[in-house]
Amino acid sequence: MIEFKDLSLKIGEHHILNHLCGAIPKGKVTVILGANGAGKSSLLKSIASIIKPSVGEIYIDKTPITAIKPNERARKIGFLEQNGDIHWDVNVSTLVEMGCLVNGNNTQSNSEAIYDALTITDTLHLKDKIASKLSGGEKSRVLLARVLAGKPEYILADEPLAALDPAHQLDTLANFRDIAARGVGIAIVLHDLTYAARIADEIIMMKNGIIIQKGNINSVLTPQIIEETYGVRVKITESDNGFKIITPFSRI
Amino acid sequence: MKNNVPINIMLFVLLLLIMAGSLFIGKVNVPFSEWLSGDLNSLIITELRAPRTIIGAIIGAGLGMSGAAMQGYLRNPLADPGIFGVSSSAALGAVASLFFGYTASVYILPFFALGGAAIGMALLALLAGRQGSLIMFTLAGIIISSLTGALTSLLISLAPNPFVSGEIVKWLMGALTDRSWDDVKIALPLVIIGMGVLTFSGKSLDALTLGENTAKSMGVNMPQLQWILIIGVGLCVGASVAVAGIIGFVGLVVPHLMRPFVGHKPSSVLLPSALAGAILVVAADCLVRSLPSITELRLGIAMSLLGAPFFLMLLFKMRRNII
Repeated sequence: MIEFKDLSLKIGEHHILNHLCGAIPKGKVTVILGANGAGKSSLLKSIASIIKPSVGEIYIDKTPITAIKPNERARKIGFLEQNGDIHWDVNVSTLVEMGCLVNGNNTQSNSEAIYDALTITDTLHLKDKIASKLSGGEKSRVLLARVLAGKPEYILADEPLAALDPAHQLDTLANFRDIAARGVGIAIVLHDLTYAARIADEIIMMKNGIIIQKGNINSVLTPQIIEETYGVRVKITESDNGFKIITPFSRI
Repeated sequence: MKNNVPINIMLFVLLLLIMAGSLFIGKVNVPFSEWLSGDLNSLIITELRAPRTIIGAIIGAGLGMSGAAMQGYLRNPLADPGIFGVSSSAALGAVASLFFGYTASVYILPFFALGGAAIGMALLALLAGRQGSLIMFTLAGIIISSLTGALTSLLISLAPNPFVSGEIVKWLMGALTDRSWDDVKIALPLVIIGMGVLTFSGKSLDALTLGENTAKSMGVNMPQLQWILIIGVGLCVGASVAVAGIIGFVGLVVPHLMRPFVGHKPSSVLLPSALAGAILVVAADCLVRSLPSITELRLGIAMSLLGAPFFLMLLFKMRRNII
């Protein structure tokens, strides 16, 4: 389990994150929700050690993250950036192989991991294409494959659905569910409340750098809390296959 | 994954062939049988062409690998070791020694140049700060190269007599003319250490393909990578400028020539760029030596004459890709 305690991030006079406490359990999908500028990405980046929090502690399986070597940390936590960059004209399989950089040179287990990652993300047919020249949606699936190839124990994904078409959005959500079922702890930032309701075991609802509410779908995705967070009214219905559908229909 | 061992071996063999060929090329024809005879003609081979060829290979390798590392680090195909400010600060050091007339020993000018490079590297590290930020690093490099460029011009304009300013201008153009084994002794260890340091950057440069944030999440230590580059590029470029003046375009052009053959992964471009850089400089030096002219064309000029059209072609190609 990843835990963060009293986590604060201050840039200049601006409090990006304000004394946050919470956890990302193994084997579960934790969805981080909140309005633009709420600090969702900053929270993920702090946990992935991309930015250094001003105050607070982060623990991976009870060990303080500061006591874990960067290589070891990178093996445990895979980070999928929002609109990730791809520089140079490397092909897809080379790019996905870069996910294995954290795991050393075991070519046999690496090539299996690469194959699995390409298959899961439905990108095997693209493996010889130049990654930077793919469409937005293909690119984000390939970048997800890169994270999976490293076989991390935790995956932090910042808006992984943003560039995908609806079919691949559902596929990717299902992938995250499957990966979590294998014991990986997953934290994803989403904007779509319906998808959040579909996939989340736990939800962390943020606004202006603080956590407004955390818990399961029923305790967090209520019209009152959504209203308080986003300033919108929503209609909550149910789909034929039993998932919540949350549709915003007006601003307050 | 691409296996680049055959290409590296091919480049190495080609380098050896060109270096051997370089011993035959020059104004005086020395038959192979006389090479080790000990008479005056053999001195042309053992004391002029051999060290010159070896120096060409050393600095070409250093510049080629530096260019590949810089392009990988800045993730910019137009990056060149020159934008770093190390070559211009080394040049400033050398120009200072010419300006003050400290040229009594062959070691003095290179020593000044290395001093200049060291000061440039220290300034770069100081200005770029401890965060390892790419933008600060690039801006610091630009500041240093424009400052040292201005100081070099200042020294030329203040030169006590036309002879000194002529010497400075000529030196700045870069050449391998009249190099000796002393220059080999200066450049070889420094470039080898510099290239050794740069090879440690391979994995981090690969991770940087995915952007700075992702690289950090993969455990890349950006400040450490910055140090590797400052020291590695500083040693390679500083040593090259110390013995041969400013030879541009090698670091820019060579990694581009190699990428289609070895794949675009930054770590696999490093070694081939070193080998191809060496080939390019030795070959270009053979060319300037064999041109029928009274005064030899300076190597630095020849490289720029060859490099500029290539640069233009690169820009056109990039523009086509963007549109």
